[in-house]
Amino acid sequence: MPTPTYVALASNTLSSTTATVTFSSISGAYRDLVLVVNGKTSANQFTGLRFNSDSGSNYTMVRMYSGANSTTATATYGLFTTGDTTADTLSIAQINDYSSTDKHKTFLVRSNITANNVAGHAVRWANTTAITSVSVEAISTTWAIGTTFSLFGIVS
Amino acid sequence: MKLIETKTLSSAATSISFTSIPQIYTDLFLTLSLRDTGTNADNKVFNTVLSFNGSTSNFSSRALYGQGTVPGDLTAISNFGGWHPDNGATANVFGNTSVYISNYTSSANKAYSMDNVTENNGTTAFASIMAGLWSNSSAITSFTFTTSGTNLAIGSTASLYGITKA
Repeated sequence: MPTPTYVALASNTLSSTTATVTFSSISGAYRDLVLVVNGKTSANQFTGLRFNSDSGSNYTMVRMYSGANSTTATATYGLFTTGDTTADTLSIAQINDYSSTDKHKTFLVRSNITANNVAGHAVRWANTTAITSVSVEAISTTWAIGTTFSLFGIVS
Repeated sequence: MKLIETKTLSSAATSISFTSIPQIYTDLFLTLSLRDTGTNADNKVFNTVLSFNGSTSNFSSRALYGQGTVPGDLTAISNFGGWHPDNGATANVFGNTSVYISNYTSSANKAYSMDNVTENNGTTAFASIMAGLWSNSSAITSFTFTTSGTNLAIGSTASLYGITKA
């Protein structure tokens, strides 16, 4: 039997604006996680990921991008995407080996905002703890109604 | 992720299409491996053009690319679907493209993420990441990748997968 991929774990479609969407109690049964977010924000601001509610300066990044680059994300977030108020954006994060306890966690992002920029970047969360929650935060703004958030598990 | 359909060209053709796409998934993921039968002496590549539901209208996109040692930035490139190698590229080498389309059945505009690379054992090859948006409220029921060159070569393939959210 083929190994399943993209096992649907949780999803959320916003019926009201909010700054943060959190997936918690994430099962450690998978190898990697994939997060897919499609929608808009209420202002053209950065959005970021936080793991296990960690708001410390524990996120470092290397990024390539084309287009505008508004405010600079801080080390207290793992950069996710630049939100846009007018164009639906699509951003995909692959969080590798998220349940391991012997390494820092890395995730790779492809973010796509036709009105603003296209980017690929890598982020390291300097913590060996297994990831059990992922917060997707619109920094200094909110996610718009209708924005969808989908979390998938990749079986090893 | 579930395989919906795979297509492999047994004869050269101008395009590869998927039609009557099931509307039972949330997102779509597409992989392509393409080569052209024509020759583009300048770049060793041809453009691939994307259409949804037979339409080439209301697309917007932008790309970041590298070509050899030269980086570049493309904006307002409409329904550009990446590049694929021409017949002058290294023999038996095909390019690769992956496309992720989120919420393809929704009434919102359709955003997609595309990664693309051509292959050539030489100094001319392209790699790109691209953001795309089809500003149309219709569900996607078909899409087509068409060459701007001569024909897509025998052996060009495309596989369509469906992904369902929780």
